[in-house]
This record gives sequence, C-alpha cells and structure tokens, in this order.
Amino acid sequence: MSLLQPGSLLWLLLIPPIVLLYLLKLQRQERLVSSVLFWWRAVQDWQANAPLQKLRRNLLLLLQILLIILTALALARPYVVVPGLGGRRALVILDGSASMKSREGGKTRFDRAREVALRMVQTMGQGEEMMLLLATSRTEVVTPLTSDRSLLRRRLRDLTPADTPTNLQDALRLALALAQSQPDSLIYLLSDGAVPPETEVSLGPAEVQFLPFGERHENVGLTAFAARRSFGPQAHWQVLLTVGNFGTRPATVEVELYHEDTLLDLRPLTVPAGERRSLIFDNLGVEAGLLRAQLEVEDDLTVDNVAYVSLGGRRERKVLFVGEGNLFWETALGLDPDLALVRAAAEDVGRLDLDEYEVVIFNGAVPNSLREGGKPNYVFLNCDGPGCPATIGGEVQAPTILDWNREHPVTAYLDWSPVHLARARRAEVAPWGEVLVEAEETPLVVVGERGSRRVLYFGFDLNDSDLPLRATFPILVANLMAWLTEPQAGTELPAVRAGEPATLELPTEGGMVRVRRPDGRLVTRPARMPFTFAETDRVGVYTVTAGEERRRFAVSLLSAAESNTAPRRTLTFGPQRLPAAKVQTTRRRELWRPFVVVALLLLALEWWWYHRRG
Amino acid sequence: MAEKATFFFEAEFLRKLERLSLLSRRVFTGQVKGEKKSPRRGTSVEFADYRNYVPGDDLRYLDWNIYGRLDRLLLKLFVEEEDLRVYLLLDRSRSMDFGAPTKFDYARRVAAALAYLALVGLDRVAVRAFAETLEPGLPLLRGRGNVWPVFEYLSRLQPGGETRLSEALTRQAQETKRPGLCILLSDFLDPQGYQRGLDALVGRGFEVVVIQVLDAEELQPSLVGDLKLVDAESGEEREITVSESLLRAYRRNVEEFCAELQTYCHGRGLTYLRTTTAQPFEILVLTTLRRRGVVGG
Repeated sequence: MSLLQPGSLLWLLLIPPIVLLYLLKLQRQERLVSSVLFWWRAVQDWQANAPLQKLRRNLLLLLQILLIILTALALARPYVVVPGLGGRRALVILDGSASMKSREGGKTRFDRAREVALRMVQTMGQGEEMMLLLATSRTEVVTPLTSDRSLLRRRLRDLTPADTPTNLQDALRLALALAQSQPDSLIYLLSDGAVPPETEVSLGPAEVQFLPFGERHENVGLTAFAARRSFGPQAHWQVLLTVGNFGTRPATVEVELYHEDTLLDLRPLTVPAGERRSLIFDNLGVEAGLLRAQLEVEDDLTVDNVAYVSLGGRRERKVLFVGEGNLFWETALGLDPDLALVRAAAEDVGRLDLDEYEVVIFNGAVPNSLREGGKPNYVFLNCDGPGCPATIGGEVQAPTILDWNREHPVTAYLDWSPVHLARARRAEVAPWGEVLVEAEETPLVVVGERGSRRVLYFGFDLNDSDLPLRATFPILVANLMAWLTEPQAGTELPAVRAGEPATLELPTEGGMVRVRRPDGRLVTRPARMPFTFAETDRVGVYTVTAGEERRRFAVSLLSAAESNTAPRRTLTFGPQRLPAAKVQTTRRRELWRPFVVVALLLLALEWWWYHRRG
Repeated sequence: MAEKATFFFEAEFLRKLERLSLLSRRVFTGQVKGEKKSPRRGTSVEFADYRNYVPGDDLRYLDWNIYGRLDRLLLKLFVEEEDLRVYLLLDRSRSMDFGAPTKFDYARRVAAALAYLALVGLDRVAVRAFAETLEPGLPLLRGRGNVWPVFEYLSRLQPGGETRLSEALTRQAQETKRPGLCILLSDFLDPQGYQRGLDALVGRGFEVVVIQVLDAEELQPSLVGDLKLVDAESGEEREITVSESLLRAYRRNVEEFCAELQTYCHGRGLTYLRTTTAQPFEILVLTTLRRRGVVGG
C-alpha cells in the first residue's frame, strides 16, 4: 500500500493536542458529598463487574484518536496497485465460436475467458468503462460502453458460446471504429486464436491486447460431409465425408452414418495426427431424409463430431427441348434418369402448355408467341428472346475464353481453359444478368434470376466448339439442370453451416412461423417470403412449423478452422502480428472510501457513547 | 429563650409532645423517685411481690390478711417508680451538614424533641454531641425547668469535624456510671465502622436506640456526568464518571450498608430506625418513634 498524498499525515499532529485537551478536561465539576465511602465502594464493585471499565472511561479519547488516524489516512489517499483497465475504456471482444467450447480440465475455454472478463469487471475502477462484444459468426454487442459493473457481470454470466465459426473481422472492425472515436480505448481480444487468418482488417494505431486461451488440442472433427446422387439409372446416393485429426496423437475413430435414426454404416478410421482422411459411402439404399454422420471419439470439442446433410427425394422433371435436335445435349440430358425430355419444333410451342415443364430449352430459335413470365425456367442456346439476360448482336470469330465464375453452381468444378470456339454471338448483358463465362470479345454464358425464374443464355452453337468433347460438358449439363430444377418449394434443404442463414420456401405466406431450435428454444417469426432464418448458431436439427406444414433443416459446423483447436499465441492481421499480451495493465485502487466509512461509523459511535453517558 | 424554643418547635407540637413519654424496654435503677419502674421495690401503688418479714422491716407493709389466714408474717413489696437516665448522643460531624434541611438540623430537632419528652416525663437527660471525640455536653438534667438550657445547648452546636463513632460511643460507655437509655442520632457514615462503639454500649448495659438520619440525595443521588466528589469530612477527592450502572452499584451499596446496620442492631437487641430528612420530623417523633416503642403515651 502506498500513499498519494503522504503530506496529509501531518494531520496526525492533531493527536497530541487532543490528548492534552483530554488531560485538561479532567477539571471535573466539584461536588461536595457527605461521604465518598459509598461511591468508592460502588466504583470498586463496578470495576470488578466491568473489567473494561478503564477502557470505557477513555473510550471517547480512543475513539477520537482513531478518528483522527483514519481521517488522516483517508486524506493521504492510500492505494494499492491492482490489475485493472489502466483507467481506460476497455472494448472486450469475447470469442464465442465453437472452438471455445473445447473442454480442458473440466472447463471450456469460454468459461475461462469469461472468468478473465469477470475479473476485469471486478477490477474496474471509478470512471472506467467497458464494452462487451461477443464474436461468433456475427458480432453481438452484449453491452454498450458502461461503467455499470453489475450489468456487465450479469450479461457475462448469461453468455453462451455458439456452435459457429469465428468472425473476428466484424467484431474487430466495430471495436476499432469505436476505439477511434473514443480516446484512451484499449481493445482486449479474448480468444483461442482458432480463426481463419484475418487479412482484411488493419489494426492501425489502435492498441489491441490478445489474451489467448487454451493449452492443449486433442480434437478430431468432421470437416466435410456431402451427398450426391450417382450418375446412372439407379441414381443412388453417394456420401463423402472428411475427418480431420487436429490433435498431437493418431486417432482411431468410429464413423457412424445414420439415416434419420437408423444406422446405415459404421467404419473405423485411423487418422494420423495433423492429417485428414476421407471416406466415401456408396450405394446407400435410402431416398429422401436426413443423413447424420457421427464420430465416436473422446476429444476436447464435441460439436464437430456430428454433421448433417439432407437428401432430396427423387422426382421426375419435365424438360422441353425446342428447336433443332442436338445429340450432345440430348445425350447429356439423358444421363439423368429423372429427367423426362420432350422435343418440340419452334412453331409447335404455341400449342403446348409450357407451365407443365420445369425447363424449356430453346435451341437456336425462339417462337414468336413466347411471352415473358410463366412457370418454367428457360435456356436460350445461341438465341435470345423475352426474358433472356442477354441481347444478341453480331458474330464474333474465334473468341478466346478469358475467365469463368468458379463459385456459381452452374460453372463450379469446370475447367473452361481447354475449350475452343470457332465463332460465337456477340451479346449485350441485361442489368440483371450475371456473366459466367467470358471471352475477350463478348460474354459467352450469362445467367439471370427474375422473381422465382432462372434463365441461362448460352452464346454459341455447340457444333462450333469442342466443348461437347470435353469432360466439362456433361458436368456443365448436370450442374445446369440441378440449378434449374433445384427444389424451390420442396421439403429438401441443403445442409446449412452453423451461423449461416437458412432460407426456406414456405407453403403459405402470412401468419407466424415457429422454429424449434436444437437447444429447445422456440423462435417465432412472421412468415414472409422468402423466409430467412438467421439464428442458426446451434448444430442440430431445426424444425419449422408454418400452419399445418412441418419442415426440417439441419445445421452442421464443418469448419476446419474451428476444429483446429490448437491454441495460438500469435494472431496475424495482414502484415501485423499480434502476440499474446503478457503485461496486464494495472491501476491504482484508492482505499480512502473504507477509511471514511469506518471514520463515520466511529463518529456515530462516539456521539452515541457520549450521549449515553450524559 | 422563648425564641430558641420556637427555633425548634411550634407550640402546638410541644403540646402534643407533652402527652408522650420515653419508654424503655428494660428497667433501670434510678436515683430519685420518678415515673419509670425501678428494679427496686418501693412505694408505688403497684404490687410487686411478697417476702418474708425480717426484724427491722416497716410494719406498715406487713400483709395482715395473710398472717390471719396462714399465720405467717409476709411483707408486701411494691414497685418502685424512679427516674430514667436518657443519654442523647448527637453526631455533629461535617457529614451531617448535608442536605436541605441538613441532616444535622434534623437530628438536632429530633434530639430536642426527645429531650423535651424526657424532661417533661421527670427523667434525667444528658445531651452530648460528638464528632472526632465525645464532647462533655450537658450533664444529666431533670425537670421541666431544664428544657431551655438543653434547647440552648442544641442550638449552639455547629457541625464540624470527622466522625469517630466507635471512639465516641466507647467513651460514653466508659464514662457513664449508671447506664440507661441511650439514643444515638447519626448518619453512621464512618469509614472506621460503628460496631466497636455499639458493642461497648451494649456491653455496659445500655439500652440503645439507633436513629440513622440520611438525606434523600444520599439514597437516590441525582449526580450525572464527570465529577470530582469531595468528601465533606476528610476532604478526600474522588473522580468518577457517573453512569447508570455506577448509580445502580451505589444504590446497592447504600442499601447493603443500611441492611447491615439493621441486622447488627437486631442481633444485639438494639432498636434501629432509619429516617430521611424528607420525612417530616413531627411524623417521625409523633408516629414512627411511637410505633417502634421508643415513645409512648
């Protein structure tokens, strides 16, 4: 303990005068009594009965001396140095992602981070403020900047980590923006560092302290889980799953595959430390439903030991091929046993009910009677028409393919670089169109979505290219048909990653939708189209009830970054490296308050004692 | 003289006193014929006993009826009535000079009343004051005519000096040739105690009436706060802080002291009476003393 104003101890010099006054005060009032005999005896009796009598006699003096000592000490402003926020504004970012659920020694990393945060709240001094941010896949402002310690404590205790990957970027951006506007701010980042490298955030001049958590990492997790139908008439489901071992020892796990609650397959799998192994389950004799992969293993993190994927049911999709027949297209479309291909001449289209078909492909010609709108999705091969995302201009000779969209479902996994074209049509892209494949001279493949309709424009004749001879072509057709005939109002839903919003088609609009989360919480939202549910921060099966209809979707973590629970001591932000903070900031905690409180109590005691005697 | 008499009493009170007389439970031998029974057989009208006739006896007291019936000569004895010796011992120490009226004034008036009673009742009265030592005071006086000298003596007395109760009483016991009724008026506030003196009186054969005079303030003091108490007699000073608990201890002590004195007196057949100056002195003399058998009539 030290003193801020030791000069105030000079007040202690008041003690000798007080004692002197006390000695002088012994000028007692004289009273003549007939005899002091009885008084003397009474005093003796009384002293015998009250051993502390002497003390009691001088209690007032003692109290006054004590009062002076306490007041002098309070004026001297004693303080101790305690860990604290250093008299600054603390912006505390708590990592609430799945990896923080790693259990080490009976406690999760999040529990430990919470304890540290609670200690920080405990050591907050007068005028110090704190803001709490919870970084999951989103950034939640738990409390605004406040000095209300009970609020901070309450909110901290109520926090639970999510099952989602970490999005430190948003939380840091928010904290950095606040730190710029609030001088004297200090950002604390309480995380295990299991985050993807954040390259887009520049810390700038802001001071960020990284408090790392986690000591060990023994974790095996599912990092990929996907299902697709195999090509061929049977179209059985194939499942691919990847298990990563992020620990330090080789792990042998049992991989269980369930369809709903029925065990389909069980395979042992040994994964060396730091490596990944994939498994393929083929020819699964199941149709629609929910597939669940489960790892039977004892590890630190359990939330990545389960993953879901939902299987769509088989259904026949009718496709109308209008115009001149094309062997390549027809052969490629014929690979999908669920596609029913109908051919029609352009001039016959007016007589057909297009709404019966899911997809209408116009090869080189569009009937004059075609109107925009209607139910089916259109494919314009080497032609344009109402509702086409591109307008055809002149012709281009031997265009060179420059680039293609690798993210879009239609062109994903395709390699366009070996494709050569003899000629193509010059196209003008509509504002709502999206170019998938682009040549130097013109866009070649354009897609667009208007309302619930999807349209694709294909800007060259297949016969003028070597595309049909490439492996790319059948995949392109399969992708295209999958995209065009994607269930938009069915029971099937692709698997959702934790923290990502799930979009569902509702059978009815209006009213309320109730979503039962895996943790049992019931969330009610108004039924709007399209229905997007963002609170997918728990891994498991979500049940959506809209009116009489009941649907499900499943949320899985499937994040190698989260499953890799190896504790990191350094975070990298672009060129900046953020090492773990070693020095805890301190602050002076002044102790004059208890002194004043005790002094006031003494004063009250003295007053009471004086009047009691009087 | 008349003023001095009224200094002590109202005329009405004196008239009431005249109807009373001092009583003694024991019978003392007197010097001259008086109104009190004497152990001697004498000439009163009250028959006491018979005894055998021996030559030389007064033939007037022979019971001739007995001689007629029994043929024996028996002499009739009558109770002799003689005077009673009353010794009034008055404490005039400084501790008696306390209260309003002072204990001394109060005790002096009681002494005057008792002396008046005795003189009117043809008893002999000696009045002696004492403090550090027993003063000679007035010798044994007799007769109504001596009322004024007694009153004058009493009114002349001034309180002063320390109490040496035992010394004074021992001296009284030693100096008195013929014991009688000894009425002791004091506050008994003597640190050296009273037992030795009272024992001496009892041993000498006195009948002792103890009248303890205290002030109400002494029994229930109204002192408060930090005080320096000064002993009226010794001048001894004592600093105390009066608290409720101390007051309780004080009152308990006074009660114990008085109870001790009372027990002592009862144990030796002494009459003990405690009074405070708050009690009107007429009531003490006319009622309380009468009830306790100190005065009668």
